[in-house]
Formats: sequence, C-alpha cells, structure tokens
Amino acid sequence: MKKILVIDDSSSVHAFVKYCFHGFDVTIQSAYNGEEGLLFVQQEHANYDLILLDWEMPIKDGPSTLPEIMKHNSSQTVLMMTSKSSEENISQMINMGASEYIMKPFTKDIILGKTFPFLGFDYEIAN
Amino acid sequence: MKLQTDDIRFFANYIESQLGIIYQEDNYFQLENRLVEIARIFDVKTPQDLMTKAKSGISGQFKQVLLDVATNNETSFFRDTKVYKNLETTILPELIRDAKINKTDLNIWSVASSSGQEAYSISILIQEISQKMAMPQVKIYSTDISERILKKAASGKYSQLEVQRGMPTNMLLKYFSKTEDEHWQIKDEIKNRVEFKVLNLKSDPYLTLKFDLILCRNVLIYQKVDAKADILKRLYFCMKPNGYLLMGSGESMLGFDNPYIQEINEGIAYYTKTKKIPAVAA
Repeated sequence: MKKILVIDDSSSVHAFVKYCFHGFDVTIQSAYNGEEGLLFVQQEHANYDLILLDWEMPIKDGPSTLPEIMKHNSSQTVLMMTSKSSEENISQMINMGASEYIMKPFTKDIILGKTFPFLGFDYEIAN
Repeated sequence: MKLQTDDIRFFANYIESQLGIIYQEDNYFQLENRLVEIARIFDVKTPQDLMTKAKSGISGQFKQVLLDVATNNETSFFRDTKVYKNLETTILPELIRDAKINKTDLNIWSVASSSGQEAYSISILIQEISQKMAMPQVKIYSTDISERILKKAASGKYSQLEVQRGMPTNMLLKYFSKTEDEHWQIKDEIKNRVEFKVLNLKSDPYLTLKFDLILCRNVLIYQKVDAKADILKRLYFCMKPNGYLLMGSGESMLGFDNPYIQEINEGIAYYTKTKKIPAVAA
C-alpha cells in the first residue's frame, strides 16, 4: 500500500485526487495548508511515498513548506500541484527539490502519468 | 445528445469507406463521443439535425472534421516510456553508429503521427544523444492523413494539458517556451529536424527515401488484415537493410504473411529486414 500526502487548501482538489487514485493500492492523507502538512510529515513512521504540494495556501504556502519537508527528509519525493505555471515558477520549485510539477487544471490521466513512476506503478498497464 | 445505433453505424460505414478504419459495434461509444464533439463544433443541437446534415452529403469542412475526429486519439509525448528508453540507450545509438560508418543520413519516419508528439519526442531523444556522441545529419518525417492535425503538429504549439501528457518537467523547461496565450512552444532546435507531410497510407505513394527507423505505432489496429498486410509490405520497401520498424506494444504481425524478421530487444519487439548480429563483449 503506497502512501500519499496531499497538501492543498481546496477540498475539491482533495476529492478529485481521491477519485483519480480510486481502485489503486494507495492511501491518501489530506492536509489543508503547509503547517498542517508538516505536522503529518514529522509524525513518527509517516514515510509518505509521495507528497502533492499546492503553492498558494493560507497559513503556510508551498514555497515555504517545501524546504522544511526536504530538511526533515532530503530524499522525500514532492510533486508540486498548482495553477502557478510560469517557467520561473516551475524552475524555482524544481531547484528547491520538487521532483515533478503538475499544472492545474489537470486530468486524471495526467496525475496518474506524473505520479506513477514515483510510486513504482506501471502507467501504461494501468492506463 | 444520444445517438441511435443505426445512426452511429451510418458514420462508422462512412469512415470505413473513406479511411479503412473499422469501428466494431463494441467501440461505438467511442465514435458516439466523437460525433457529439463534432455536433458541438458545428453547433448542431439534436442527433436528428446531425443525421440530416450528414445524409444531405458529407463534404467540405464537415468531412474534414469528421475524418479528423475519427482518427484523432488522445496522444502523449514519450508514449510507452520503456520503448523510448530502449530507443535512447540501444537502438538509436546503434543506428547513429551505422549511419556514420556508412556516411549516410539518419532518416526516421513517424507514420500517422497525429499532432506531432511522437516525432517531437524522437527529436528530443536525438537532441539528448547528440550531447553524448557525434551525429550524422538527422531528419524526421512525420506524416498523417489529416491536414488539419499536421498544421497543428507543424506549429509545435501545445496546450498546458497536452504538454503534461508524457513530457517530464525538466524536458519541458529545456525544450519549450511558454507563450502569452498560456500554451507551450517547442524550440526550433527540436522543431527544425521534423518535416510534416500529408499522406494516406492506403492510397498515396510512400516517401521515396530509405529509412533507418519507422515508427508505425497504434496505427494499424483498426485496419482489416489485408489492408494491414499491404501497408506493412509497402513500409518494408522503405526501410534500409539495417533499419527497424516499430509497432505499438499491443500490436504484432501474427496471422498474416509478412517479410519481416522479429527481433526482441529488452522485451520490445522490432521488425527488421536482416538478422542482427549480437554485439560481442570485448
């Protein structure tokens, strides 16, 4: 069972991500801002296979959350999932340690295609 | 909008007569979705109106859109990552070495390449390989039956959704620029290597060049066996003696006579003219 943490302030994004992974061997934990996300990350035995991180959120946004996640676990796989989509935005987060970048809006095939290589799933077969 | 089975059959028969692409009744839902899309493009409100329009004569723009939509599958960059990995690490370096020894160009043909993702993915691989080894002149030919889709392909401009299908973010940043209208433009260094040409595999003369690599992936799945065998025979004559033909991962040449030799490389089936001699470790 793979574990994904979704950090995003929109409940509809959480619902859509859950819908996309429905039927796969995946469990999804929801956090609604960076601070809440970090609490989950820092829990003992958290071990998330993947973190999906939004940019714009109240309390603590994505760019200030990502370095703290990486500080806690430098090999943590984090994928940005945001409507900020300029080349500068993308470069900034990749340089800060994000493994991939998903631009909103996205479709089910896009999120599965972007995340499956990190989860060790075969996208071609699943698709 | 809901279409009757007989109405869908009318369009399926028309598409088969024009393109040789067969929609079995099991796949009518797929065609129905595409017909609904056409109705939206032409602002047709009811199935009856769509049928009236079609039966009064399918011509002009309506015909072009119908044929485009019927053949336009959702496509992605680097579709089937294992295949592209194998091309990058094994097949392309081998073909590049051969071309340099024989002092020839490296010619690649993306058959029925739709909106260009396959041709541009190959061009990106060539660009990546060129940073590691000296290259011969490389030309990628990209053909499709649809003029409309080729125009889009030749523009090298893709929507945000399209570039997220199969294109890793590091490659996106390296080989695309974002446009003011929220699209992504492929860079000239990748685009200039690709040439686009309208070609109907059933009825047009094929390209006269000889190819090192022909990609004919997920193209012949809707063709009848005899049409498929005929196309594959014609492609055989377009290959260099050391060339490869690559089909889709679910496709094969089982069930009909063909002149090819099958070679399996890291689990991927390639079709060749001559048996390759495996490299011997020094």
